[in-house]
Amino acid sequence: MRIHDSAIGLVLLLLAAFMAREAAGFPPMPGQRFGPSLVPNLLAAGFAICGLALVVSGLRRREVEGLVELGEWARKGGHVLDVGLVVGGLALLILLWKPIGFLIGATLYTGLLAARFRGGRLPSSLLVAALACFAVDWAFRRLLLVPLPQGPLTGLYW
Amino acid sequence: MAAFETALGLVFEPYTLWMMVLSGLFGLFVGAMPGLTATMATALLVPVTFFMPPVPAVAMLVTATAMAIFAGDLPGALVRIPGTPASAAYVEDAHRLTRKGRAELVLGCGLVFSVIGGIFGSLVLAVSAPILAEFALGFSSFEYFWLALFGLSCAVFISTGRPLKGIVSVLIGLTLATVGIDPTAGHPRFTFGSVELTAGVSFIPAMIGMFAMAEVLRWVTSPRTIEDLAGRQKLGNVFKGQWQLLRRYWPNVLRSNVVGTAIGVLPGAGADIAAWVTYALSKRFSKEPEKFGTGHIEGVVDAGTANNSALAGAWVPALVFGIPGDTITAIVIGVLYIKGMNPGPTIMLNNPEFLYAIFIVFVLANILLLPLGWLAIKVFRRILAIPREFLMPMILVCCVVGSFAINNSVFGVGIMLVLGVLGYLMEENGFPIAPAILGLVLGEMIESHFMTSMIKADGNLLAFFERPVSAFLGAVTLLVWSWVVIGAIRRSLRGGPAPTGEAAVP
Repeated sequence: MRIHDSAIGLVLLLLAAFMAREAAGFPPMPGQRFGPSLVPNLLAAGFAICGLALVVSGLRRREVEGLVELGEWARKGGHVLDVGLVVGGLALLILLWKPIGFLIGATLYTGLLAARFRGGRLPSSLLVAALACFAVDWAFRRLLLVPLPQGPLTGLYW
Repeated sequence: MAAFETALGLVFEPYTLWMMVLSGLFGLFVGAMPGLTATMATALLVPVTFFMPPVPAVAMLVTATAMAIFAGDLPGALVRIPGTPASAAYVEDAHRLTRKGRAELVLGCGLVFSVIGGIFGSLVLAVSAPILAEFALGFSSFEYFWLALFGLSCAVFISTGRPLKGIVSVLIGLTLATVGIDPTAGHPRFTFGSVELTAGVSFIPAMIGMFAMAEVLRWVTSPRTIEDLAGRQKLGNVFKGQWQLLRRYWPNVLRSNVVGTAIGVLPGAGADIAAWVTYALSKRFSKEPEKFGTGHIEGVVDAGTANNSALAGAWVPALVFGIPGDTITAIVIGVLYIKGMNPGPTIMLNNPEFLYAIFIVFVLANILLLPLGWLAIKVFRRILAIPREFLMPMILVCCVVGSFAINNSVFGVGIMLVLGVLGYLMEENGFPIAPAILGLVLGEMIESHFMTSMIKADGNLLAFFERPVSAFLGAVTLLVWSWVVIGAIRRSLRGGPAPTGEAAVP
């Protein structure tokens, strides 16, 4: 997904303004002329200069037609939906991390994604995903002692 | 000598050796899968290393990366997709040689010259690191500030052809590093009331996101088709003809070793840039430049040697100054801190056995590359047969677990997701990722040295040039910046286009 350089430049200018405003609220260091706001202010100045340069160069170069250009892949069957599923599914997995646990959540996530990428065959995708996630759960919980949440399966396996 | 003997004991423990073999196989697998990089192999291994003693942990990372860089040659030669960006420079020659029925020669060449490059780089690391460390003991906050800034400048101006986007990338990394408690006054910055953010943006989830997750997103948006020559090739003895190549091209090998290691040592530039530069040099000085790109082995010899020698070279600034030479060592520095092995000149005083262990691991990993690499060539067809439709979702799960494991908190997974999407968008729009990662890793170091120096000098900026080494480093850094800025202004006045990154980075 390509975004027009000028639009990126504008975002950087806004970011610079936001950083400078936030940094203005940082207290100075006792006995010094500078404090925690010095580096954020320098970075904000850097963003402002680069943002301006990008706005100007974007208007001169015009590499991207319009504000956003999705590219060839977006025209191929459902690639946009695939990206949405990867990102949205992961966001959902984070939200449901504790209630449904790692094993159930990760199996559903990988199984459904694999089925989507393979163009169907949901049962076999879910089966392979369940086995693979079980192996990951075993390795991390049993061998590496990472407390992955078990959700409704708490106490049913190791 | 006692430290060296202790190091030998640490490395030649069965546990460490097993971990090296296992991570070697993992590195070969990741490198051989088109689209998965050596940096990704390192990022995915980090959560596993949390639970290990330091030497096996570092041994795993060193072995996996050496294997992954070599294994990148396999899909490059057989399916014309470089397995890692470090193999991209010579993919055309390697693939055309395969088409001519010389897969045996090109794969063997990749293997043998990777080993030679790797061992050369390891020797340079072993010789130069202790000397440099002793020299660096006299450094103060002024020198460290300039050195870190020089590293970031190199990352900006070497890794991308369009400096403006490289600078933005560095600024993003530095800004992420300012999140949390500030290093001098202890004031929380940009935390938005979140307790988790007061500890800052943890860079392991950040790197897993920016490299591994962004890679998966790139695959999702790619055509997902592969031209397979692997099934049509008969592979016999891959070592046949390599001695003749070495005898014929020994000056090239020597030159590529030196240039590759030097590029590796330079902060911010790693194996991929070493491969591109040595391939270009190879063509420039070749007696048959017209044959390059048509299936000529000379460029493969040169760049194949250089990308592995750069790997070890990148460890020199990482170990001696705590400044990463490339993205892989940026991750390694994080692991070293977690293990309490703070990189810097005092590592030679505090943990000499650890430093020797790293040297031994490097040489051993490169020797191990011969049998494991041979095995990878033999089973490559099977590696490629693993359906990407399953592999990519599983990589995402590994990213999730790895990001969770750093603090046992789902917040890390959130950081991984956000920075994964950001990393994908950045690369799509020509903003290189490496400077952002280096900015994130070096941010706190730069700020604390800068603030300490400012307090020492009472705000007098001239004090940054008062000590001889500091003045030299400052002058070099400012020279690099002026050269780039003047170049950009001249181009802009002439009305010509700014260079793009294609020449330097695939």
